[in-house]
Amino acid sequence: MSPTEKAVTMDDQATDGALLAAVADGSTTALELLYRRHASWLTVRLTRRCADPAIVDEVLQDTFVAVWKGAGRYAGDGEAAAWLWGIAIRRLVDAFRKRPPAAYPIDDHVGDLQLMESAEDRVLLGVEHGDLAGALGRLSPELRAVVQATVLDGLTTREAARLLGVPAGTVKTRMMRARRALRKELA
Amino acid sequence: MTTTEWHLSADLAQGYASGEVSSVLAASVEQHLIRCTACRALLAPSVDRARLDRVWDEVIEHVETPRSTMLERALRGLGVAEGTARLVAATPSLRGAWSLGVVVVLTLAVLTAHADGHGIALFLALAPVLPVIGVAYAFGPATEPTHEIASATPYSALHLLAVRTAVVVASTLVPVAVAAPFLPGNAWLSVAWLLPALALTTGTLALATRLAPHLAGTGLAAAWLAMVVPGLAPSHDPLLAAELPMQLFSLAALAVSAGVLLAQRHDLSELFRRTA
Repeated sequence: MSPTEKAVTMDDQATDGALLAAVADGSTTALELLYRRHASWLTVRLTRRCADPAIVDEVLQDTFVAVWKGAGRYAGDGEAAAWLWGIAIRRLVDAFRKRPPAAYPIDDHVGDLQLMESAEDRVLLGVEHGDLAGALGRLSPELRAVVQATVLDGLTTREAARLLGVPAGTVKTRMMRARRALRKELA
Repeated sequence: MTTTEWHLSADLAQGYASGEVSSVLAASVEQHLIRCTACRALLAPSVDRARLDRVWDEVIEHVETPRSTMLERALRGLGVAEGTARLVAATPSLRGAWSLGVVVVLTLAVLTAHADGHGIALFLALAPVLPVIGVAYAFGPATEPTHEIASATPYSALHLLAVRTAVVVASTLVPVAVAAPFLPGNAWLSVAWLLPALALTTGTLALATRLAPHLAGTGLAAAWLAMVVPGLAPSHDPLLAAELPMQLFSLAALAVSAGVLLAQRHDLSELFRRTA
């Protein structure tokens, strides 16, 4: 990092990367700016995975304490938001390890299917053609939850198992069934 | 990956935040949010500002608390409850000054033992007392900056005593055990201190169920010294503390103290379960 980059003023204009570098240097001002910028959407996204606001608050707190301790590990490439979410979702898994998950909300509306799918989602799911959004929407809620946890949240099988409160073997079989269902439908 | 000019409408942001949109649509919202600062900002009104302030206060409190010591982190890693770990780590006898004191006393005792045939008595008298003084020192209000925290934690003094005693004794026995083999003479001498040491610390624990811990510790240490100090006199047997009568006496004292503790085991196990 060059000296000019380090001298970035700590205000609302600073990039997430610059703020994280300042946090790594021990700036609580930068940590607060980062918190003000990211706490709301992280809270909303966590709330979709955990119905208990007390757990969500605790996870949000743990996340930013972890950011404080580990800001130096942010590689500087890639979205800082993705890095933050990676920490938050794992803190949530940890919170569920301490106590059984209250609920991993799965809704059954399949009406509005406007999935903005990305190429990497397709690769991860092993499907390349067809109406992915529609096919995902027609998966059973259990299968969809597994796809969401592993593909979209990027969790390992074991982490997904903790999040969903089912054995790891079940996550594997559900993921296999989900893949098979998607391929069959999109073939 | 800049695939689209797709952005969240105010309705969609609202629907996503309130959990009304389907999980499939939510998934695409989430993929988009990672890359789009403007759309992330749309969610800000959905979360109560006061709630976020509360969480922030917790964050900053954690961040500004002095980093925990290595000992505290090690204890936490072993599954010790956070409060217990902090209190153990804050035990005065575990600070550098105390450890240094133990090392200096032991070194002097070993050197004295080499210089003079009688010096061995000094080592045998002091070694068993060190862990006990450590325990007493760990609890005296005068030497205890965390005394108020200790009094305010939901642990009984007895539980705290048990935890701290275990740690203090372990941390004092190690330097003593390291020093012992450097003693001149019979190999037996290098372990002769162990039984009195165990008897004295167990005795302190047992007495502490009735007495203030630092009184119990100092009292027992004084009693022990009164018994073995005659060994320091040139006309007496320097190995008094290592002789059979003193060892048997220590064994008996250990048995009695252990018996008292066993009689209290219900209380003790209750106390441990509560913090497990």
